[in-house]
Amino acid sequence: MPAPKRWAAVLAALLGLALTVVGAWFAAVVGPSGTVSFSATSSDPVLVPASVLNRVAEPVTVHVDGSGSQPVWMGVGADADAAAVVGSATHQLAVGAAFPESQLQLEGSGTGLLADPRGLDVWAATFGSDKSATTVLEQNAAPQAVLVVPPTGEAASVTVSFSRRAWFYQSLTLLVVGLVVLSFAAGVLIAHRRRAEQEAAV
Amino acid sequence: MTPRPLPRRARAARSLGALLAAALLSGALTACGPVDSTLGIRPAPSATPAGALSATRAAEIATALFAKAATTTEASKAGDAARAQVYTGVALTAANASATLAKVLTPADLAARATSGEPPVVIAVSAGPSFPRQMVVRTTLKNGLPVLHLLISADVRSPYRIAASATMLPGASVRPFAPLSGGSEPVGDGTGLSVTPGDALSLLPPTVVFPGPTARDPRLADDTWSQAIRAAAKAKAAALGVSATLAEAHKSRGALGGLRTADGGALVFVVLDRTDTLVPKAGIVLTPTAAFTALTGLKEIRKSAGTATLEFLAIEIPASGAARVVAATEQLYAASGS
Repeated sequence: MPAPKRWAAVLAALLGLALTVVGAWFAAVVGPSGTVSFSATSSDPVLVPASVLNRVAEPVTVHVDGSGSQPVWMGVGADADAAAVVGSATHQLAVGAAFPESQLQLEGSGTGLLADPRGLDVWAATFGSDKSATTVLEQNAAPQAVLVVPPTGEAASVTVSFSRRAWFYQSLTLLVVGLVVLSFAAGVLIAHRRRAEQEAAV
Repeated sequence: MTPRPLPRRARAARSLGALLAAALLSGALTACGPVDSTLGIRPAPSATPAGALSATRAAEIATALFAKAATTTEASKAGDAARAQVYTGVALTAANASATLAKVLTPADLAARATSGEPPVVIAVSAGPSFPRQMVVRTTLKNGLPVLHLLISADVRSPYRIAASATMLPGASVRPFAPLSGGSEPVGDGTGLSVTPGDALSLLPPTVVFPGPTARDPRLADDTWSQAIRAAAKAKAAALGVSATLAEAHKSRGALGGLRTADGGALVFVVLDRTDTLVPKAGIVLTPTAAFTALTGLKEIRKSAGTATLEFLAIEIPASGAARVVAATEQLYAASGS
């Protein structure tokens, strides 16, 4: 086999191996439900806007957990309303989600205490009687936002989970394509090696 | 020279090359942008002109508000403070006056005001995210007459409050609104309506002034409310006979809000301020009504008496044709005399 073809086969084997590993790892991370989660902890109010929540067609789950004994408050509302409620008060704005770190990226903003957002009519749903709460946001209500207010002096963790079953199947596809490429390349290289051994024996 | 057929291994290698090329190509394509679409990630949608509230949430808010309204009837400072959490603007003035005058209501008055206890029905919510947001709600009196209410949320931190309430006139109806899911457009400046809300409001006082002459613009249809107001003024004047003179004037307090109906018309809530001025003839002493006494403390009228009454009206304004008052409620709120 000419050297360029042999190198192409080696590169293909490496590419196949990479696709296989990435596909297997991604499939393991998202699981059969195709779920990826991003978390962050803050003692300031956290605003998770539509630019994070409404990026997929599937429902998004938001879970909050208080670090202390007091209940954490969470409100779900229209994106513009939630932003107006927060206004220029001190808060953490979710600006993105880092993968594979599984981190919800927060950016501090504003000054002064947030006026009590409980009881406002702009909330489509509110949670505030437990130290943890979960809500599932349907995308037909987009653009929507979630405001999380930890109890004074305590922190709360916010986890946003996106579930898209297609991600699991895409991972499997990557895995299968990787295996196919790896098999082809390995076959070519093994055949070359055998031929070289036969030629050496002759 | 005839090309030599490629051996099997070489053909496999060529196929692999094609596969790799395809993979690299797709990799290049995804690097150019479609990664997000491949993964089903899209830009967040911008605001849609849907209803500002879901039907469920609107019903929750209305139910809670009217339940609160039912408990804020006490005539006291605390009652006033509680009513300020339920009513806004001139509706708050009317609600406070109603609480003050509740003690002088006759059994017939009480029966006419009694509510059926049925939950309020939200019939329209304003579309879009802008403020003020509005809601039109229907409740029902025990006597079967529906009452239309305008609820307004002035800004993101102001809860919905009752801005106007008007009882449907017998035989009147309201054209349907757009479904709550899509919301109804606010009336705004009245573009596309046969008459703007401001003009419709200005056309009302000449139809009910007393003593006449009255004048009716063809853009405003006659209605049972106007007829009743004119008839009541005549009856009062007749009852006074030659012992006193009566004059009634109606002044606009403005359009409070309203929403477009599905057919391009609108339901607009307005309020008028009616002033009744009564002047006894020299030497005549009149005995005022219990409501007048409750507001002024006066038990007789020697020189003059004046009362101020808020008239909440719902006017249906079509895209073409005459506007018509479809609901009305009045509330005496101030009096003076000597």
